Amino acid sequence: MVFSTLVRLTGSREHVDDLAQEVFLRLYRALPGFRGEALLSTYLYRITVNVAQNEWKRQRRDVRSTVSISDEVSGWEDRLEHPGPNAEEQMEEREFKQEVEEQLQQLSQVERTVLVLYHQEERTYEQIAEVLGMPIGTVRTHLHRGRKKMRDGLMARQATVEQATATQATATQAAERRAAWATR
Amino acid sequence: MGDEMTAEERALVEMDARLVRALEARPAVEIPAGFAARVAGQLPERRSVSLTPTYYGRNVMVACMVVLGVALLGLALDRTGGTTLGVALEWFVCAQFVALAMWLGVWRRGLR
Repeated sequence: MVFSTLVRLTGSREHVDDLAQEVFLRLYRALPGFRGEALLSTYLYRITVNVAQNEWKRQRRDVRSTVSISDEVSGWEDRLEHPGPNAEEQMEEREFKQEVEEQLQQLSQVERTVLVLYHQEERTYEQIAEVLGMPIGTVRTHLHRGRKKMRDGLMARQATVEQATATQATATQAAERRAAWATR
Repeated sequence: MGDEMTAEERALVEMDARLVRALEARPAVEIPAGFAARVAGQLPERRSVSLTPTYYGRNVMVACMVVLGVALLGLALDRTGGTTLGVALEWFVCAQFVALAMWLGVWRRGLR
């Protein structure tokens, strides 16, 4: 849970084990003060989110380009390993997931955190509100706003790709017609 | 016009569904071997706890019983203790002695 949440929130696999170590050390130090008012998982999520936010601020300061986690999951060798009838669909799905990750990193910290906790970690509104210390209504607003931004971003990219494909097809057809005219 | 709106809505719904599926898919992560040991190595050392019982309370109680026993003996041997105050003091010391003896008996039973 900790590793996958950190990867999604920071958008990078760099230093994830260091960050996860920091999470568990903070949990250990905070345990004597834990009175059981909330679930231990809520406590752990809160610490994970704080560590991720600190890392995100550090990344912004360092102005590093984030490494796409989709690239690290499967290299070209994996993509070519099992060619089959669904290979094109699989590649398209992988590219879509990569675009989703890129759009996720475009969101604000809070929107990204809410989306990850809700969809990936399957937390309820109440649990997310408790982790982030905000009202449930605010959580809902961030969730819907974040999803809408991502959807609009993805559709805009899709439209751009389709337009580029159409332009390329037109140019190819024009070249073929010129070649056919030249051979007459 | 109606068909365009329906097609657009369909595209939005499909995009939403795809987006949610992609968000729900967890990134594949590999926890490095020895991670638990690495975290444990960073934890502060715990102070060792002494397991030898000290019985300070019991020893003080026994000492008090001895003192009270000596006082009772002294009061009993004192022939001039026939006054009301003397009798009251005897009963008071006796009651304390008995209370301590009962407490010690309960404490021993609790140890078993």
